[in-house]
Amino acid sequence: MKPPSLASRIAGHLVLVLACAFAVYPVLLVLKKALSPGQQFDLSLSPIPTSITLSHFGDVIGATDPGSGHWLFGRQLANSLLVAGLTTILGVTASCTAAYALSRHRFPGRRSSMGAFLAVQMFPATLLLIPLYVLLDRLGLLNQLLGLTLVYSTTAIPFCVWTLKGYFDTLPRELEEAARIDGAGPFGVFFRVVLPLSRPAIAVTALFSFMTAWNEFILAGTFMSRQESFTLPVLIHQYIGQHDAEWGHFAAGAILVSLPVMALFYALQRHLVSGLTAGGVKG
Amino acid sequence: MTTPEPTARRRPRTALLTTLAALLCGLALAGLGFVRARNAGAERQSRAIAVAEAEQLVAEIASAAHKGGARAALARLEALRAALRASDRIDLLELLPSAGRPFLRRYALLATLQGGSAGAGTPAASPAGASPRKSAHDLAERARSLGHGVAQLVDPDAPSADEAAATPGSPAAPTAPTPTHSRAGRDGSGGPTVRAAALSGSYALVIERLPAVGPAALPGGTLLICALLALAIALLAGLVLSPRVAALVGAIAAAAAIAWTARAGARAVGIPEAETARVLGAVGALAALAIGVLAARGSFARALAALRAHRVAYIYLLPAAATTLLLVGVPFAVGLALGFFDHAHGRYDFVGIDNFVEILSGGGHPFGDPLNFWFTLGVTLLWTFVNVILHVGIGLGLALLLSRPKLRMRGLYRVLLVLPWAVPNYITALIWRGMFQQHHGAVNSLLGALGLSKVAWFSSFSAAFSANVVTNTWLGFPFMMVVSMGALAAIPKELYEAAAVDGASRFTTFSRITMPLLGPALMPAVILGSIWTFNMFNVIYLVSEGRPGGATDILVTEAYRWAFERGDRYGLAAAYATLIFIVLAVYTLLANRGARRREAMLERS
Amino acid sequence: MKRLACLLLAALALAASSCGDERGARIVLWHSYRGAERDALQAAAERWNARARGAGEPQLRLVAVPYEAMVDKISAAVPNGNGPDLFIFAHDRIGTWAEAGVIEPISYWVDDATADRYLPQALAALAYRERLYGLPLAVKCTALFYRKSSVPTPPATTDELLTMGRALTRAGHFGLGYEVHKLYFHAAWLHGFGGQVLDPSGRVDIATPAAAAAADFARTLAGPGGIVPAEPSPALLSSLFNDGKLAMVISGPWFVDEIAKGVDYGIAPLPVVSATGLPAAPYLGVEGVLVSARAHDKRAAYRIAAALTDDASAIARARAARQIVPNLAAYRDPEVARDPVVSAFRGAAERARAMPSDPAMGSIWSAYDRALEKVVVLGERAPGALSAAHGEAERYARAPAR
Repeated sequence: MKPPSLASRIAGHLVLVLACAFAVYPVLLVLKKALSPGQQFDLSLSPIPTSITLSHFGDVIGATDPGSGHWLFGRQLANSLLVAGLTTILGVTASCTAAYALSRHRFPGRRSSMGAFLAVQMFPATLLLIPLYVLLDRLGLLNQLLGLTLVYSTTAIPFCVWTLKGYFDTLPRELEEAARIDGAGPFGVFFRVVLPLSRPAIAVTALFSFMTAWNEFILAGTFMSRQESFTLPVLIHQYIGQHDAEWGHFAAGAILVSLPVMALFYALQRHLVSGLTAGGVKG
Repeated sequence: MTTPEPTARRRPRTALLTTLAALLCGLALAGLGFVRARNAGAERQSRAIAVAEAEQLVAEIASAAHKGGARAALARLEALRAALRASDRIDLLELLPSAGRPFLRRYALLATLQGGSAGAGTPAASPAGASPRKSAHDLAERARSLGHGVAQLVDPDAPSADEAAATPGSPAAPTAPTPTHSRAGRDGSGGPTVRAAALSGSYALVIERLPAVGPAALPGGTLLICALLALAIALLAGLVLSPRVAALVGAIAAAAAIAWTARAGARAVGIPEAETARVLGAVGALAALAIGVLAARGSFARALAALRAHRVAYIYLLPAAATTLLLVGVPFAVGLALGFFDHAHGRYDFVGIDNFVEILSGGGHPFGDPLNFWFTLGVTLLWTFVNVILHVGIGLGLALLLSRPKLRMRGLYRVLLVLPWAVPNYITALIWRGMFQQHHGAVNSLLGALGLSKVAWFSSFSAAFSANVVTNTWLGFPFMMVVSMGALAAIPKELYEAAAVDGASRFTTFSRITMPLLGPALMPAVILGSIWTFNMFNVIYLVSEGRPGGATDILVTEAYRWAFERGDRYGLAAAYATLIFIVLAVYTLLANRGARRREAMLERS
Repeated sequence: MKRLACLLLAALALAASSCGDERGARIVLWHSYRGAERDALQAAAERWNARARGAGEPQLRLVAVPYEAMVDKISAAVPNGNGPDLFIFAHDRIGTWAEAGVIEPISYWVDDATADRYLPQALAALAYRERLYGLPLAVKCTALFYRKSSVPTPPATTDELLTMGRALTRAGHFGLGYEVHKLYFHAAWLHGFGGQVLDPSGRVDIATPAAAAAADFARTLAGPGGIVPAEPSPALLSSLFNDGKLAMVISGPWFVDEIAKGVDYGIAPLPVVSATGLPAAPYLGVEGVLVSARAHDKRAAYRIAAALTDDASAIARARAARQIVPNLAAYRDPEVARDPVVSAFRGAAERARAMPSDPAMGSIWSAYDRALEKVVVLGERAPGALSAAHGEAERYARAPAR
């Protein structure tokens, strides 16, 4: 493709800069709150703090359980990483296989199971809270990070399945047939040919699965009942009270929570551009 | 796919197997109902025994009161207490009068059962649960709340409801619960008044008059006869009729057997709670019928054949399908069922389709009223449509810009643009609400700087709706952008190179290569994105809060308000959720059909 | 991928490291206090634990649950037997919870000596249908915050409030701020005009002339030409107050933390309504220690509730966290009595009227808020808006199943 003209390049940058400003300004306000002293919600327009303190970050990171003296932030960060990481692995693995089956095999129940994956997203989640609680209780998964992980995985799976299925549909089948002729079994084809080719889609679904688990608060706050088993969003939401909130702490926590997401996105983004040609076909 | 037709020799077997499966499945459900009903019966029985004993006590104390007045009654009570400590059914609670605090002026004695194991030989704990030996207090409170036949032992001497005179706030002397003391209080002016408080108020003995129920035996005989009869019918049908019809006949017989047994069981238990047994029996019978119908249609045979033929596909699908079915499917079914119940104060009553009728008829609100379902539905559809267009438009546009070759600062742009997705939306939604503040918000200041007039963002529907849309667009475009980036990456570069060689214009390249190839990859994101937007709770709830007057509420916030802000009407909320589900299901069907048609056209071209 | 796996393993090890310290009899308490209030509660719990260790009493363990998750969590956990033994929540939900069998009546255990410790209306607020469901830990109600620089003496009547407010309101400056479209704040005017939300028998009683007069008064304050800024969110109020652009704010004790250092302010009770001569009585919210209906040892749970709310604990909490405690003895403590915030709110609490805890309230809050929005912001006529709210609330509220 020929590179765009200079004018169009400038226009492109202009649009991108404006979009970035639109995207970043509210986040800067959060950052400003996190860095300014005081806990009140600030209404002023300037995103630049007048005086800077790191005490909010210090307080959030240093949060301990007053009863046992455990370092809560570390515990809950570990819990969050564990839950989000496992959700990503579980969700993406289960979705890859399922999407492959849905894309490559024509079997009875294929359409209806695709529909079913979508259908389960349609019932508002807030109203499923109590039935889900009872179910986890019966399964003995209440108060366990594994239970939370499974719940998040099922939340993420539909999107992952559909996205991966759409992607697999675009992969040329000739490659798989060639591999099969070379003597690869059905599983071998899947692992050695299909998966390496699907890195962009896997990156998108991985990011999505991670996000599903990472920022969730209501389920984590309801299904976990020990201070040590809460996840980070629960810790941060503790700064919101009935009548008022510690916005400085909350903002600092929100910034801290979004850092790993940015890191993950940064790590994954090169897979989003290296497409089919760069990755697999030749190899 | 053709179903292998069973040979004539195997005919009765199919019908018998179906009947057996139907019987077992149905009986499992009906049996559950029976066990529950029997437990309830057992509890009632032991309670009734306790009540009988307690009634005797009341009579005794009442006669003491009759002869010697309240003090005598209390003395008798005190004397009985020691003896009653030994009883495992009856417990006496102590007397606790308190001045000026009706909520502390408690009944004098309560008698009720102790322990839940009275149902002779029933190992199952009583439905309420954990501890076998409940405190008398606990059960007494429950007995009271049930409110069946309350016998009151009213003290004949006591002035009734007299304590209001005691002034709130004056620290009264602590009193011991002895029957003969006096207490001093002060009235408002400070002058001392002495009142005999020993027996003020009324002392109630709470008794539930429940019919005694014998321990119900499972109607085993009936069950055996019915089951055998059903199997015999199935056998007979299998010999005479075609296998499918025979299977159906067998299942019908099984359903009838279950329904009959459940009825007999419910009658044997003979208390109102046995309704559960009957309902679950009916459900069991329906399940048996369903099995019959499925068998008659050959579904099982086909499913088995398919399982064998597509083993790999099913294995691949299994992990995702199983977890989803369990952890989402089950609560989902509960949610659907809840729509047919009415919840009030911890109790659920079956109301049929009343909830749906109430919602669909607008619930007494005229059509243009924000609380009318159809109005909210319209707002929700508009909300979804506008948002999805903006999300996809902005997300795809930015992804295209970012995919330009030799773009500088690509990495920085990308990371900055994904920020709105990364930061928890609770706080950013509130930041946006602050930005829409009428006099001090950033948005109005920007408008002011551009020479436009300020907008009262939350005083009119269109302004509040726009504020929500802007916030949600901000929150949602990064996701679409990332998905579009992934989809763009999937397009082989060779196609573009070939197009460039052919001298195709940028527009042609976009409309002929990018769009058609992007479509299938973006479709799931668009469909799911619409579903999520349809159910986007946080933005509406935090930014406009439904203002003005609930007009910007969408269906999901409305459902939430019914569940948690308007008298805990979970049933009505679940009915709302079911309607949301139906709307979305229709939408998805249409969207998928469109997508498939386009796909087919693509394949043809 | 390998790095991710390592990270996960490390997280797993950390997550597993301190599981399994569940030993001995424990009473678990859920609360959603933060900051100083949380620390003060923790200190009270530690006092109990120190005493309990020798006395063979169970230990108390606190779990801080985010406020937003609390109601869902209680409603999900307790009926399934998983909840805490004790929890702390505002009293206005006890009606719903009592009807649903979530909380345990404790009347039986409360002796007069215990009952006499508290402000009578604080204890009474925790009763529902003649049963007591908790012991009061702290109270919250609203009062008038004023900047001493612009308001030398706080207004004693609503007429004074209006004159003063009008004099102080000019471009960008406002006389008074409060969340006009919320019944919680409006209730003071409603009571001052002689209105109510539920009549003594628990029936919805919204569409009354008194209520209309109160709503009209709110419009005078906050409608066109009024003295209240538009869209008075808490964030706006605190920033205007701190910037000196807002002279008076009606808010609760939590507002103290919002006030910037160096602002000289006072707290006064709400003024008397000139039209009726009645004080504007705000809603009183009582945070009670409630015993779960599924607590494993209710008697022990009650003893702990009593210990957490005793006078010594109250004094410590009032001193350390400026909590408005309902214990009468606490205000005889010189340090507590000297605290201007605590004593001002104690005075306000005495005039306040407990929020109804009837389950019917669940359907009234949102209906009433909407009516206020219609009258104050959208300029509808008060009687019409209120009778719409009345109908709405009546339709939502069903009589409890007896």
